[in-house]
Amino acid sequence: MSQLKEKLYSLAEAAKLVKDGSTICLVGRTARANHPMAFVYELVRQRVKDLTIIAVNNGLSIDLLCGAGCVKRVETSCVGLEEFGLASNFRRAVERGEIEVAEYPEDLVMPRFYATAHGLPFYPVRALFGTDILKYNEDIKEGISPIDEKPYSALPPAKPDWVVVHAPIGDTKGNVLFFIGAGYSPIWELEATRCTRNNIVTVERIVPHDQISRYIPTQFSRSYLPTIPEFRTRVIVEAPFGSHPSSLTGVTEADNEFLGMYAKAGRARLKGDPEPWKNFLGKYVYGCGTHTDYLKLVGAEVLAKLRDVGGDLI
Amino acid sequence: MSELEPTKWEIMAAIISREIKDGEVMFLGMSTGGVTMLLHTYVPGVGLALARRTHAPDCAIIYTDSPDMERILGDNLKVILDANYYLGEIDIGLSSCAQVDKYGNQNIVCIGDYHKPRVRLIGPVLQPTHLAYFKREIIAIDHEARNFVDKVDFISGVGYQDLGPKSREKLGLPGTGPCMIMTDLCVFDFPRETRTATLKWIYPGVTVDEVRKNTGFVHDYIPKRVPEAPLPTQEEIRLIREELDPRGLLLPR
Repeated sequence: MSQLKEKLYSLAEAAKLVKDGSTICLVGRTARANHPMAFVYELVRQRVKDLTIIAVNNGLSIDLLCGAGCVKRVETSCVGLEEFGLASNFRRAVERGEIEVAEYPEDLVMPRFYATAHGLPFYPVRALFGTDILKYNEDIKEGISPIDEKPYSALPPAKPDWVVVHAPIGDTKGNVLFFIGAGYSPIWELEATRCTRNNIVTVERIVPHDQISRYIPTQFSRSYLPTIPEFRTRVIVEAPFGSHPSSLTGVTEADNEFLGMYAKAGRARLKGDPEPWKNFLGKYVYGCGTHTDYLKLVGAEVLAKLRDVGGDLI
Repeated sequence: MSELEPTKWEIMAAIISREIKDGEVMFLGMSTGGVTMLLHTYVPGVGLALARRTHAPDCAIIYTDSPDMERILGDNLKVILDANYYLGEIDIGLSSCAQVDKYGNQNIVCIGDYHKPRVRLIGPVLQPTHLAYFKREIIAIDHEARNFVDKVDFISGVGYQDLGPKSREKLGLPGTGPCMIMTDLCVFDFPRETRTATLKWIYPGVTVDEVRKNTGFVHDYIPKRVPEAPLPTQEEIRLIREELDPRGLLLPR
């Protein structure tokens, strides 16, 4: 068992930190990019219950946790699977009244983290007038600005017990670097992890601390950006292909075939046939003792093809 | 040489092209694939490229995730990566939705009662900010009766409510609101006096009856005379077919 001072955890040890009823922030983007899936699978294996999930724009991670009965409440802007359709497990759970949803538009999630990071009681916004978000999200309050005397909506700060992100590379002390892809910067990961020191970071590879400087840019043309400093990382876990079947910008591409199979299993369950979904969980989650077992099941050939040629990791 | 007949997708792309003024920035959100992808991403993408090649060389696009379109249109798109939504740096946004009502309110959150929905949809994504801050918004949806309702089940994108010509000021929203609903049959707009959806153009070959049969609006949205949509010029059709989308990968032919 890891000592508290020691940050190197296994996935199983790290997932044990998340107790039933916790609030976790799962950073990831859109249906199938940059989700900390190895960690999410492990939460399911450990049968964590009653999670509240704060997220920006999601699909896969939240859908899977809903489909495994781990979720009590979701606070995000979107849970969908893009071209693979609606997120059937999420949809089913909401339609059956099994989980609560608090709606926040995509651009109003990070302001909740700014409020926390700046120690503020709320973050004022003016994008919600006239929407039903104000009617149904009871955590957003109305106020009148003391400066211009006009109304605003007050967003509550985000207070997750744990923030979980997946990144390309980190060191043994918990310094974490991200890849800068075309049209992508790890701004959500950066802002979310700034609001707490309870950050769980899974990475494709952990290198000794004295080697991480090799990856820190010495000139602007280098494509890595040091993003999470060691003092903010509580736990670091090595999980190669840890975003599978979602992508990791600049490192791996999304596994569309797997995602299609995943979406189909969820859809069957929504339509009343629970078997494909049960089989999915049985095979890829409960049936795998560890993340390594999962990767073996997905197969080296498939994984090798998912490596993004743009991402020269090491 | 015989006249080129435009497809409905080319007609739509040309309408969008003409809506774009030089120097303007258009925002495309992410899309869910299928016809929505075509209406909400490929048609406006080609429209913008067409505008750049004709009257608006400096218009630009900002969007989430359409690598295929970016590969195909290449330098015909001018892609920017960041804009400040809240200070009006986006001129035209594109939205799609499961329901739109006569006031241009949109819904992508749920069908039925919010607390016990018949269908839970994806959630608001960026739609509230589109309709609050973007200077104007084009609503692009496929034309099915159930998409056009008297009142949406959840307002995730705000139109004009029943507040008349000054509705946006009354709501405290700086954007001027939806400027059109574009479907695969026709275009609706929101005339200043009423700010309710009104049939503006139908595409060649489409009848008003066909629109009526496929539209769930109950208000009087059909004016006495409904003109045919303006068609792309021969040069615009040629540009689309020969230079922008030569293999017809974006707009089906």
